[in-house]
Amino acid sequence: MKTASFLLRTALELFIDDEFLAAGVLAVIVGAAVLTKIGMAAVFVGGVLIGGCLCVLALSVLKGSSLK
Amino acid sequence: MTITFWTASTSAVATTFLASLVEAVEAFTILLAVGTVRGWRPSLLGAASGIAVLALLVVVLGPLFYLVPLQLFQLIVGILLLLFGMRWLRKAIMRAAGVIAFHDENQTLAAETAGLRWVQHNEAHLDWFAGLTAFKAVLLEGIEIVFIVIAVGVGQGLLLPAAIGAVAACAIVGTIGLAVHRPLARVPENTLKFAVGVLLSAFGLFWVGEGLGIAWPGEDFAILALALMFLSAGLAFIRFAVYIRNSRLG
Repeated sequence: MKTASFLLRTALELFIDDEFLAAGVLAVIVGAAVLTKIGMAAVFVGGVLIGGCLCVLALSVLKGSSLK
Repeated sequence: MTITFWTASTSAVATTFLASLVEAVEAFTILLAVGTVRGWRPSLLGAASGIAVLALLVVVLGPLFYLVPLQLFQLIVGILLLLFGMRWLRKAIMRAAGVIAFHDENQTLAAETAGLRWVQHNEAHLDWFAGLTAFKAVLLEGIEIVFIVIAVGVGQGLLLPAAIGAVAACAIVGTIGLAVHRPLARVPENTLKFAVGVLLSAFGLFWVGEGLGIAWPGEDFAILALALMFLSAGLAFIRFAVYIRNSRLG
């Protein structure tokens, strides 16, 4: 049990350091998937992905810099 | 062989080489600590066991990736790469801006050595403990390398170039490390992490788009364009974080 939880925690830590960053990136991807589903132009969805990820990164850096 | 193939291959080799360099340096520092305190036998045995488990993981799990439909695979791996890459990029930005401390291999070596020496006084079976420490270091750092090689390589049939990049980095770190017998503290770890974060985020975003059915303009060249975009944004965010930090400090 202890080993399993260690492995799970280690696996999660590979991808998640700042929860806000991870949640934000996932939200952007879900948003882009919804836009694709409703038939928005690929260029627009691509722009949402790029812009969304950069905004999330900027906010995460802002949050981290303000708190530390 | 098209120019887009070479572009994608070069990006894949550069990404896995630089990422593996960072991970291999970190693993080597711990192997060095084990080797210094308890001799090279447990250190090398632990490392060899770690590599064997990683090879087993690749052999067992590798063929399963080909069973997943390509578009779904690209989406899943793209999401994971994006999370992984942006995590590295954020950390490198914060370190470059002085918000968080730099990773110091000499400090890691001192801490690991002190930990092993403390155990030496309190534990009868230190060889096991030392071997396990080396095993864990290789396994944990190696899993990141395996993930990056598979993620960057499998989706576009670039597994071989991606693996070559990783093996070359590990071989270079191993050779130089064993020759100098010191932690490779002069490797610009944060700069490498920043570069890898940029490249992995670009690969991740590209594949998330492909997975969602977006046809990027310029096909594989879009990876380079995305990398340039993350690079410019990352450099701007460092200045941004420095500005915030300085305003907070007055």
